[in-house]
Amino acid sequence: MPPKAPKSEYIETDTGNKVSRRSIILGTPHIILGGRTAIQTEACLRGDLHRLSSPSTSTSTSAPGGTSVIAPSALIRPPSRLHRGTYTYVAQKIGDHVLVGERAVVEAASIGNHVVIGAGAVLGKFCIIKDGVKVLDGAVLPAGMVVPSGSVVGGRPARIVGEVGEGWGMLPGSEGADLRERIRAIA
Amino acid sequence: MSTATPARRSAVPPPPRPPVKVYPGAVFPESSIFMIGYYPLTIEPHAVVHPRVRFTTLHGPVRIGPGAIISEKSMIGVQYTEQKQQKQQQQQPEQIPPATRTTVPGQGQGQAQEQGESSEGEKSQARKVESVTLERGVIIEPGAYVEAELVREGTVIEAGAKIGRGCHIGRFCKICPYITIPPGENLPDYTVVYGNGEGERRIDHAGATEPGLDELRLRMSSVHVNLLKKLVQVPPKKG
Repeated sequence: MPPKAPKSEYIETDTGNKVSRRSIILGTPHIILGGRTAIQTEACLRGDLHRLSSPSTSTSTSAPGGTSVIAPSALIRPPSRLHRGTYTYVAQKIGDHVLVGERAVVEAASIGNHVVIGAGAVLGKFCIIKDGVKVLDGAVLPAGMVVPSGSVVGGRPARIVGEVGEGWGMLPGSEGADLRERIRAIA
Repeated sequence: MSTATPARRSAVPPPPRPPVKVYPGAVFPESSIFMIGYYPLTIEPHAVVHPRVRFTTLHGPVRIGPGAIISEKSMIGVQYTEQKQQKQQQQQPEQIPPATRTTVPGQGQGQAQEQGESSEGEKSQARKVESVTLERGVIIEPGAYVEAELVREGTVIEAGAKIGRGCHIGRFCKICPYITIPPGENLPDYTVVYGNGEGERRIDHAGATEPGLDELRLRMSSVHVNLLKKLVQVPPKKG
């Protein structure tokens, strides 16, 4: 009898999402993956921390967009606040072609398209990241920071330190661009 | 014949598991929490422990106060003994070329004395219990590393911060992300540590002078705990 083929680390869904068996995904009814998204080892998605007032399960707590990569040990959890006397978690949206780096902690309210979040970056509660942004490694974005599109942010606490070059996310294979190749390489 | 052979077991003995006491009303998804040690781990009422927290009670008991929130991937408890850390530090200066070292007359005697002291010190340290206590309403954010002896009520330790062994963190302090607090520090109440590395410090005067703000902060964290008690799920066991 031939030896049993080893179980692949990733589970591939119909829409091309690749989810590691070693990732921690809680509250799956509240998470919508946009298709062709890779969730790597030990990455943690907290869908269980959702808004209680809305009973419909269609409201997404955390929605990584299409063609995104969530690197190992990254943590995605929705932001929470005290609002009119009740403490609530608020839905979080992540755009397409987003790369969340290793060990990053993302509590942002929304992240646009073509965003690169460096390794170990901390995105505070209710941050808003617009399209085409680069967050440098180890940056600490304070709660509620709004990053305009096309900027580079870094430092502790994070400041806008520059602009992304022309054609950010346009050239295939360059930073912020289509992550399809990278996702294809994950197996 | 032996179709039901169990999976091959490792010859290494399993790591010690601490005695755990979880009070009613606490959230403690035990199957997804890493625990190692001999001393007791106590989770007081209304404390919330998220999945993937690592508790180490090898060198002393760990106590999580009522209404505390411990986020994912944080590490609570003293990991190594002090002598092991010192040894690691001592190994580094030995790599410095001998020419840069200053020679002291009578070094041999001194070394002998030091060795004697250190062996006595090791004995005393072997008995030394390094406990970790988190008081009421303490919030530990993801990836924080807490070895502090005492963290007093209402303090927030943010993502990736490292609190050294033997530290005493006062009431309603805030340690910003990736701050390192060196071992044995005492932070007064209402201290805010921010910036990079060991960070800069200031006192939150609003917290210190405004009456009733402490109660409001504690009430907010208790409201948060009440919500988390309804929401936090236990991750399924994977086969």
